[in-house]
Amino acid sequence: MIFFRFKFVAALIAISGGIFISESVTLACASCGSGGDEPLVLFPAEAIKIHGSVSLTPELESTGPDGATLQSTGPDRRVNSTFAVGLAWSPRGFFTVAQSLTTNSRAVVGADQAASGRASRSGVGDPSFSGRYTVLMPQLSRPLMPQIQLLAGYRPAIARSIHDSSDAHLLDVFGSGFDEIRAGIDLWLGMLSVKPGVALTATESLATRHNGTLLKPGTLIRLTASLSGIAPIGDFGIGAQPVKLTTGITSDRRGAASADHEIVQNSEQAVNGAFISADISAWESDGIKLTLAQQGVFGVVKNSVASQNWSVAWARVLR
Amino acid sequence: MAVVACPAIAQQDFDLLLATKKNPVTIKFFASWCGSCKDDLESLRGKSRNSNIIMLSAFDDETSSVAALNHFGVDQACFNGDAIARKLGVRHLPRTFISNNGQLLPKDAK
Repeated sequence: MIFFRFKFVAALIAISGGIFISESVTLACASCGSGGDEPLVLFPAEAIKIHGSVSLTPELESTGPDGATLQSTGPDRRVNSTFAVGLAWSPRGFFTVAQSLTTNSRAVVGADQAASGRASRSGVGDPSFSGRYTVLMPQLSRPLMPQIQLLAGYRPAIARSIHDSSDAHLLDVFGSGFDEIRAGIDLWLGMLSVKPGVALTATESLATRHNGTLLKPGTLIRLTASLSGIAPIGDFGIGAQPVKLTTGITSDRRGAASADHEIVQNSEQAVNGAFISADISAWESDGIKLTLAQQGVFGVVKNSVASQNWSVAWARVLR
Repeated sequence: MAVVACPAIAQQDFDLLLATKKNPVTIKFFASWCGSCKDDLESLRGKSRNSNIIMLSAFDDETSSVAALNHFGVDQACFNGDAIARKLGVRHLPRTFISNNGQLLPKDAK
Protein backbone atom coordinates (compact mmCIF):
# COMPACT_ATOMS: atom_id res chain seq x y z
CA MET A 1 0.00 0.00 0.00
CA ILE A 2 2.83 2.39 0.92
CA PHE A 3 4.65 1.43 -2.27
CA PHE A 4 1.50 2.08 -4.31
CA ARG A 5 1.05 5.51 -2.71
CA PHE A 6 4.65 6.53 -3.38
CA LYS A 7 4.47 5.32 -6.99
CA PHE A 8 1.23 7.22 -7.48
CA VAL A 9 2.70 10.39 -6.01
CA ALA A 10 5.76 10.12 -8.25
CA ALA A 11 3.50 9.85 -11.29
CA LEU A 12 1.45 12.83 -10.17
CA ILE A 13 4.55 14.92 -9.70
CA ALA A 14 5.93 13.90 -13.08
CA ILE A 15 2.75 15.01 -14.78
CA SER A 16 2.17 18.18 -12.80
CA GLY A 17 5.81 19.19 -12.96
CA GLY A 18 5.71 18.76 -16.69
CA ILE A 19 2.82 21.18 -17.01
CA PHE A 20 4.66 24.06 -15.44
CA ILE A 21 8.14 23.47 -16.67
CA SER A 22 6.66 23.29 -20.15
CA GLU A 23 4.63 26.46 -19.70
CA SER A 24 7.50 28.46 -18.29
CA VAL A 25 9.96 27.50 -21.01
CA THR A 26 7.55 28.61 -23.70
CA LEU A 27 7.56 32.03 -22.11
CA ALA A 28 11.33 32.18 -21.67
CA CYS A 29 12.74 35.35 -23.05
CA ALA A 30 9.37 36.45 -24.36
CA SER A 31 10.56 39.94 -23.62
CA CYS A 32 14.31 39.90 -23.60
CA GLY A 33 16.00 42.87 -22.15
CA SER A 34 16.78 40.41 -19.44
CA GLY A 35 18.45 37.06 -18.91
CA GLY A 36 15.32 35.57 -20.34
CA ASP A 37 13.17 34.24 -17.54
CA GLU A 38 10.08 36.42 -17.72
CA PRO A 39 7.16 36.81 -20.12
CA LEU A 40 7.01 40.55 -19.66
CA VAL A 41 9.73 42.98 -18.69
CA LEU A 42 9.55 46.76 -18.71
CA PHE A 43 12.41 48.95 -19.85
CA PRO A 44 13.21 52.08 -17.81
CA ALA A 45 11.24 54.41 -20.10
CA GLU A 46 8.09 52.25 -19.93
CA ALA A 47 5.48 52.84 -17.23
CA ILE A 48 2.56 50.62 -18.31
CA LYS A 49 2.84 47.70 -20.69
CA ILE A 50 0.54 44.88 -21.74
CA HIS A 51 1.36 41.50 -23.17
CA GLY A 52 -0.64 38.81 -24.90
CA SER A 53 0.61 35.51 -26.22
CA VAL A 54 -0.61 32.25 -27.66
CA SER A 55 1.49 29.11 -27.57
CA LEU A 56 0.93 25.70 -29.07
CA THR A 57 2.49 22.51 -27.75
CA PRO A 58 1.47 19.97 -30.39
CA GLU A 59 2.92 16.91 -28.66
CA LEU A 60 3.69 16.08 -25.06
CA GLU A 61 5.79 13.10 -24.11
CA SER A 62 6.12 12.20 -20.43
CA THR A 63 9.21 10.46 -19.13
CA GLY A 64 9.83 8.50 -15.98
CA PRO A 65 12.69 8.53 -13.47
CA ASP A 66 14.96 6.60 -15.83
CA GLY A 67 14.22 8.89 -18.79
CA ALA A 68 12.09 6.28 -20.56
CA THR A 69 8.88 7.44 -22.21
CA LEU A 70 5.78 6.78 -20.14
CA GLN A 71 2.52 5.57 -21.57
CA SER A 72 0.56 8.70 -20.78
CA THR A 73 -3.21 8.95 -20.66
CA GLY A 74 -3.04 12.72 -20.17
CA PRO A 75 -3.36 15.48 -22.78
CA ASP A 76 -1.22 15.11 -25.87
CA ARG A 77 -1.63 18.70 -27.05
CA ARG A 78 -1.89 22.03 -25.28
CA VAL A 79 -2.74 25.58 -26.33
CA ASN A 80 -1.92 28.27 -23.84
CA SER A 81 -3.00 31.92 -23.98
CA THR A 82 -1.47 34.39 -21.58
CA PHE A 83 -2.34 37.98 -20.80
CA ALA A 84 -0.02 40.08 -18.64
CA VAL A 85 0.15 43.66 -17.42
CA GLY A 86 3.26 45.42 -16.19
CA LEU A 87 3.34 48.57 -14.06
CA ALA A 88 6.55 50.42 -13.23
CA TRP A 89 6.88 52.35 -10.01
CA SER A 90 10.24 53.79 -11.06
CA PRO A 91 12.65 53.42 -13.98
CA ARG A 92 14.30 50.66 -11.93
CA GLY A 93 11.34 48.65 -10.65
CA PHE A 94 8.11 47.13 -11.90
CA PHE A 95 5.36 44.64 -11.09
CA THR A 96 3.68 42.24 -13.48
CA VAL A 97 0.52 40.19 -13.25
CA ALA A 98 -0.06 37.33 -15.66
CA GLN A 99 -3.05 35.08 -16.22
CA SER A 100 -3.25 32.13 -18.58
CA LEU A 101 -6.04 30.24 -20.25
CA THR A 102 -5.21 26.67 -21.24
CA THR A 103 -6.85 24.21 -23.58
CA ASN A 104 -5.83 20.60 -23.10
CA SER A 105 -6.77 18.07 -25.74
CA ARG A 106 -6.25 14.44 -26.56
CA ALA A 107 -6.94 12.24 -29.57
CA VAL A 108 -9.94 10.01 -28.95
CA VAL A 109 -9.57 6.42 -30.06
CA GLY A 110 -12.69 4.52 -31.07
CA ALA A 111 -13.54 0.92 -30.27
CA ASP A 112 -11.83 -0.10 -33.50
CA GLN A 113 -8.61 1.59 -32.28
CA ALA A 114 -8.94 4.19 -35.05
CA ALA A 115 -8.65 7.89 -34.18
CA SER A 116 -12.10 9.46 -34.05
CA GLY A 117 -11.51 13.07 -33.12
CA ARG A 118 -10.19 15.00 -30.19
CA ALA A 119 -11.54 15.65 -26.71
CA SER A 120 -10.65 18.96 -25.12
CA ARG A 121 -11.21 21.07 -22.02
CA SER A 122 -10.34 24.70 -21.35
CA GLY A 123 -9.76 26.52 -18.12
CA VAL A 124 -7.83 29.31 -16.44
CA GLY A 125 -4.45 28.56 -14.94
CA ASP A 126 -2.84 29.83 -11.75
CA PRO A 127 -2.21 33.59 -11.88
CA SER A 128 1.32 34.85 -11.47
CA PHE A 129 2.47 37.96 -9.58
CA SER A 130 6.07 39.11 -10.11
CA GLY A 131 8.32 42.01 -9.39
CA ARG A 132 11.75 43.10 -10.59
CA TYR A 133 14.19 45.70 -9.39
CA THR A 134 17.32 46.77 -11.22
CA VAL A 135 20.08 47.15 -8.65
CA LEU A 136 22.71 47.93 -11.29
CA MET A 137 21.76 49.81 -14.46
CA PRO A 138 23.75 49.21 -17.65
CA GLN A 139 25.95 52.09 -18.78
CA LEU A 140 26.94 53.13 -22.29
CA SER A 141 30.20 54.45 -20.85
CA ARG A 142 30.96 51.04 -19.28
CA PRO A 143 29.84 48.38 -21.78
CA LEU A 144 31.20 45.44 -19.78
CA MET A 145 29.19 46.34 -16.71
CA PRO A 146 26.09 44.11 -16.58
CA GLN A 147 22.57 45.08 -15.74
CA ILE A 148 21.68 43.21 -12.56
CA GLN A 149 18.06 42.67 -11.59
CA LEU A 150 16.54 40.94 -8.59
CA LEU A 151 13.24 39.22 -9.11
CA ALA A 152 10.56 37.69 -6.95
CA GLY A 153 7.21 36.13 -7.66
CA TYR A 154 4.22 34.39 -6.19
CA ARG A 155 1.82 32.01 -7.87
CA PRO A 156 -1.21 30.96 -5.83
CA ALA A 157 -2.73 27.57 -6.52
CA ILE A 158 -6.19 28.58 -7.65
CA ALA A 159 -6.79 26.51 -10.76
CA ARG A 160 -7.86 22.89 -10.75
CA SER A 161 -4.89 20.59 -10.40
CA ILE A 162 -4.14 16.96 -10.94
CA HIS A 163 -5.12 16.35 -7.33
CA ASP A 164 -8.75 17.28 -7.89
CA SER A 165 -9.15 16.29 -11.51
CA SER A 166 -12.34 14.57 -12.53
CA ASP A 167 -11.32 13.77 -16.11
CA ALA A 168 -9.99 10.33 -17.01
CA HIS A 169 -7.38 11.95 -19.28
CA LEU A 170 -6.58 14.88 -16.96
CA LEU A 171 -7.87 17.33 -19.53
CA ASP A 172 -9.29 19.51 -16.76
CA VAL A 173 -5.88 20.08 -15.12
CA PHE A 174 -4.78 23.71 -15.44
CA GLY A 175 -2.86 24.44 -12.25
CA SER A 176 -0.06 22.97 -10.15
CA GLY A 177 -1.97 22.42 -6.91
CA PHE A 178 0.73 24.18 -4.86
CA ASP A 179 1.32 27.81 -3.97
CA GLU A 180 4.73 28.79 -5.34
CA ILE A 181 7.21 31.43 -4.28
CA ARG A 182 10.03 32.37 -6.62
CA ALA A 183 13.17 34.45 -6.24
CA GLY A 184 16.18 34.99 -8.43
CA ILE A 185 18.77 37.14 -10.08
CA ASP A 186 19.13 38.19 -13.69
CA LEU A 187 22.27 39.49 -15.41
CA TRP A 188 22.39 41.02 -18.86
CA LEU A 189 25.15 42.65 -20.88
CA GLY A 190 23.03 44.91 -23.07
CA MET A 191 25.73 47.24 -24.39
CA LEU A 192 27.55 44.70 -26.56
CA SER A 193 26.65 43.84 -30.15
CA VAL A 194 25.94 40.26 -29.07
CA LYS A 195 24.21 40.51 -25.73
CA PRO A 196 24.62 37.61 -23.29
CA GLY A 197 22.23 37.15 -20.42
CA VAL A 198 21.80 34.67 -17.60
CA ALA A 199 19.07 34.20 -15.02
CA LEU A 200 19.03 31.93 -11.99
CA THR A 201 15.80 31.37 -10.09
CA ALA A 202 14.60 29.15 -7.28
CA THR A 203 10.94 28.21 -6.89
CA GLU A 204 9.65 26.81 -3.65
CA SER A 205 6.30 25.02 -3.60
CA LEU A 206 4.44 25.18 -0.31
CA ALA A 207 3.41 21.89 1.28
CA THR A 208 -0.28 21.25 0.68
CA ARG A 209 -2.60 18.49 1.80
CA HIS A 210 -4.21 16.71 -1.13
CA ASN A 211 -6.55 13.78 -0.64
CA GLY A 212 -5.34 13.31 2.93
CA THR A 213 -1.62 13.33 2.12
CA LEU A 214 0.67 16.29 2.83
CA LEU A 215 2.57 16.71 -0.44
CA LYS A 216 5.48 18.98 -1.22
CA PRO A 217 7.37 19.10 -4.54
CA GLY A 218 11.10 19.67 -4.30
CA THR A 219 12.68 23.07 -4.87
CA LEU A 220 13.00 23.95 -8.54
CA ILE A 221 16.23 25.58 -9.67
CA ARG A 222 16.15 27.07 -13.14
CA LEU A 223 19.13 28.42 -15.07
CA THR A 224 18.49 30.33 -18.31
CA ALA A 225 21.31 31.52 -20.53
CA SER A 226 20.72 33.53 -23.69
CA LEU A 227 22.44 35.44 -26.45
CA SER A 228 20.75 38.13 -28.51
CA GLY A 229 21.71 40.43 -31.31
CA ILE A 230 20.44 42.10 -34.46
CA ALA A 231 19.71 39.64 -37.26
CA PRO A 232 21.85 40.29 -40.37
CA ILE A 233 18.77 40.45 -42.63
CA GLY A 234 18.27 44.21 -42.81
CA ASP A 235 15.25 46.12 -41.55
CA PHE A 236 11.86 44.50 -41.57
CA GLY A 237 8.23 45.18 -40.90
CA ILE A 238 6.23 48.34 -40.48
CA GLY A 239 8.54 51.26 -39.84
CA ALA A 240 11.52 49.24 -41.15
CA GLN A 241 13.01 48.20 -37.84
CA PRO A 242 15.83 45.73 -37.27
CA VAL A 243 14.88 42.21 -36.20
CA LYS A 244 16.37 41.03 -32.93
CA LEU A 245 17.26 37.35 -32.63
CA THR A 246 17.64 35.62 -29.29
CA THR A 247 18.69 32.05 -28.60
CA GLY A 248 19.22 30.29 -25.33
CA ILE A 249 19.15 27.19 -23.20
CA THR A 250 17.36 26.35 -20.00
CA SER A 251 18.15 23.86 -17.28
CA ASP A 252 15.50 22.84 -14.77
CA ARG A 253 16.34 20.71 -11.74
CA ARG A 254 13.81 19.91 -9.05
CA GLY A 255 14.69 18.09 -5.83
CA ALA A 256 12.85 15.09 -4.48
CA ALA A 257 9.24 15.47 -3.45
CA SER A 258 7.91 14.49 -0.06
CA ALA A 259 4.68 12.88 1.06
CA ASP A 260 3.77 13.14 4.74
CA HIS A 261 7.35 14.31 5.39
CA GLU A 262 8.88 11.23 3.78
CA ILE A 263 11.04 11.61 0.70
CA VAL A 264 9.53 10.03 -2.39
CA GLN A 265 12.28 7.97 -3.96
CA ASN A 266 13.23 8.73 -7.56
CA SER A 267 11.01 11.80 -7.68
CA GLU A 268 13.67 14.30 -8.71
CA GLN A 269 12.98 16.09 -11.98
CA ALA A 270 15.37 17.27 -14.64
CA VAL A 271 14.87 18.72 -18.09
CA ASN A 272 17.02 20.81 -20.39
CA GLY A 273 15.55 23.03 -23.05
CA ALA A 274 16.56 25.31 -25.90
CA PHE A 275 14.78 28.18 -27.57
CA ILE A 276 15.11 30.71 -30.36
CA SER A 277 13.02 33.82 -30.87
CA ALA A 278 12.69 36.78 -33.21
CA ASP A 279 11.56 40.24 -32.07
CA ILE A 280 9.92 42.52 -34.60
CA SER A 281 8.81 46.08 -33.87
CA ALA A 282 5.40 46.43 -35.46
CA TRP A 283 4.43 50.02 -34.67
CA GLU A 284 5.74 52.81 -32.43
CA SER A 285 4.72 51.10 -29.21
CA ASP A 286 4.13 47.49 -30.30
CA GLY A 287 6.43 44.54 -30.51
CA ILE A 288 5.86 40.99 -31.72
CA LYS A 289 7.93 38.00 -30.68
CA LEU A 290 7.96 34.58 -32.34
CA THR A 291 9.47 31.77 -30.30
CA LEU A 292 10.28 28.12 -30.88
CA ALA A 293 11.19 26.18 -27.76
CA GLN A 294 12.20 22.56 -27.38
CA GLN A 295 12.14 20.75 -24.04
CA GLY A 296 14.07 17.57 -23.46
CA VAL A 297 17.24 18.41 -25.38
CA PHE A 298 20.76 17.17 -24.77
CA GLY A 299 19.31 13.86 -23.56
CA VAL A 300 18.12 15.21 -20.21
CA VAL A 301 14.51 14.43 -19.35
CA LYS A 302 13.73 12.81 -16.03
CA ASN A 303 10.26 12.66 -14.50
CA SER A 304 9.29 15.44 -16.86
CA VAL A 305 7.94 16.24 -20.28
CA ALA A 306 9.66 16.42 -23.66
CA SER A 307 7.85 18.80 -25.98
CA GLN A 308 8.11 21.35 -28.72
CA ASN A 309 6.37 24.69 -28.36
CA TRP A 310 5.54 27.47 -30.83
CA SER A 311 4.43 30.83 -29.55
CA VAL A 312 3.51 34.30 -30.74
CA ALA A 313 3.67 37.14 -28.24
CA TRP A 314 2.62 40.75 -28.60
CA ALA A 315 3.44 43.63 -26.26
CA ARG A 316 2.34 47.23 -26.27
CA VAL A 317 3.66 50.13 -24.23
CA LEU A 318 0.68 52.18 -23.07
CA ARG A 319 2.66 54.87 -21.27
CA MET B 1 35.20 70.57 -24.31
CA ALA B 2 33.39 68.08 -22.04
CA VAL B 3 29.75 68.15 -21.00
CA VAL B 4 29.60 68.77 -17.26
CA ALA B 5 25.91 68.72 -16.48
CA CYS B 6 22.44 67.85 -17.70
CA PRO B 7 20.38 70.02 -15.39
CA ALA B 8 16.64 70.00 -15.05
CA ILE B 9 14.78 72.54 -17.18
CA ALA B 10 11.22 73.76 -16.81
CA GLN B 11 8.95 73.57 -19.85
CA GLN B 12 8.68 77.36 -20.21
CA ASP B 13 12.45 77.75 -20.02
CA PHE B 14 12.83 75.06 -22.65
CA ASP B 15 10.32 76.83 -24.89
CA LEU B 16 12.29 80.07 -24.45
CA LEU B 17 15.52 78.28 -25.31
CA LEU B 18 14.01 76.96 -28.54
CA ALA B 19 12.76 80.44 -29.39
CA THR B 20 16.29 81.88 -29.14
CA LYS B 21 17.74 79.31 -31.53
CA LYS B 22 17.81 79.43 -35.28
CA ASN B 23 15.38 76.97 -36.93
CA PRO B 24 15.36 74.04 -37.19
CA VAL B 25 16.55 72.70 -33.84
CA THR B 26 17.25 68.99 -33.41
CA ILE B 27 16.23 67.57 -30.03
CA LYS B 28 17.61 64.15 -29.18
CA PHE B 29 16.29 62.06 -26.29
CA PHE B 30 18.77 59.54 -24.91
CA ALA B 31 19.76 57.66 -21.74
CA SER B 32 22.98 56.15 -20.41
CA TRP B 33 21.24 52.74 -20.09
CA CYS B 34 19.97 52.79 -23.68
CA GLY B 35 22.06 50.42 -25.82
CA SER B 36 20.15 51.48 -28.92
CA CYS B 37 21.36 55.04 -28.36
CA LYS B 38 24.96 54.05 -29.06
CA ASP B 39 24.91 54.69 -32.82
CA ASP B 40 23.04 57.96 -32.35
CA LEU B 41 25.59 59.27 -29.86
CA GLU B 42 28.49 58.04 -31.96
CA SER B 43 27.16 60.05 -34.92
CA LEU B 44 27.39 63.23 -32.82
CA ARG B 45 31.06 62.81 -31.97
CA GLY B 46 33.01 65.93 -32.86
CA LYS B 47 30.00 68.02 -33.92
CA SER B 48 30.34 71.62 -32.88
CA ARG B 49 28.21 73.16 -30.14
CA ASN B 50 26.81 75.53 -32.73
CA SER B 51 25.09 72.73 -34.62
CA ASN B 52 21.66 73.52 -33.17
CA ILE B 53 21.37 70.23 -31.32
CA ILE B 54 19.94 69.83 -27.82
CA MET B 55 20.40 66.59 -25.89
CA LEU B 56 17.63 65.62 -23.47
CA SER B 57 18.39 62.76 -21.09
CA ALA B 58 15.28 60.81 -20.17
CA PHE B 59 14.57 58.52 -17.18
CA ASP B 60 18.20 58.66 -16.21
CA ASP B 61 20.41 60.11 -13.50
CA GLU B 62 22.49 63.17 -14.36
CA THR B 63 25.90 61.67 -13.58
CA SER B 64 25.34 58.69 -15.86
CA SER B 65 23.94 60.86 -18.66
CA VAL B 66 26.97 63.15 -18.56
CA ALA B 67 29.34 60.16 -18.50
CA ALA B 68 27.64 58.70 -21.57
CA LEU B 69 27.94 61.95 -23.54
CA ASN B 70 31.60 62.36 -22.64
CA HIS B 71 32.32 58.71 -23.43
CA PHE B 72 31.20 59.36 -27.02
CA GLY B 73 32.76 62.82 -27.23
CA VAL B 74 29.35 64.50 -27.61
CA ASP B 75 29.68 68.19 -26.88
CA GLN B 76 26.15 69.60 -27.02
CA ALA B 77 23.86 71.35 -24.58
CA CYS B 78 22.22 68.79 -22.34
CA PHE B 79 19.19 68.94 -20.05
CA ASN B 80 17.08 66.50 -18.05
CA GLY B 81 14.09 65.85 -20.30
CA ASP B 82 11.88 63.57 -18.17
CA ALA B 83 8.86 65.87 -18.11
CA ILE B 84 9.22 66.83 -21.77
CA ALA B 85 9.54 63.15 -22.72
CA ARG B 86 6.32 62.32 -20.88
CA LYS B 87 4.52 65.24 -22.48
CA LEU B 88 5.61 64.15 -25.95
CA GLY B 89 4.74 60.49 -25.27
CA VAL B 90 8.31 59.26 -25.70
CA ARG B 91 8.20 55.52 -24.93
CA HIS B 92 11.33 54.31 -26.66
CA LEU B 93 14.82 55.62 -26.91
CA PRO B 94 16.52 57.04 -28.84
CA ARG B 95 13.97 59.52 -30.21
CA THR B 96 14.67 62.63 -32.27
CA PHE B 97 12.35 65.63 -32.66
CA ILE B 98 12.73 68.62 -34.91
CA SER B 99 11.61 72.01 -33.68
CA ASN B 100 10.47 74.66 -36.13
CA ASN B 101 9.28 77.90 -34.55
CA GLY B 102 8.74 76.05 -31.29
CA GLN B 103 6.61 73.27 -32.80
CA LEU B 104 8.09 69.84 -32.05
CA LEU B 105 7.58 67.03 -34.50
CA PRO B 106 9.12 63.52 -34.50
CA LYS B 107 11.92 63.34 -37.02
CA ASP B 108 10.24 60.47 -38.85
CA ALA B 109 6.80 62.16 -38.93
CA LYS B 110 5.24 62.36 -42.38
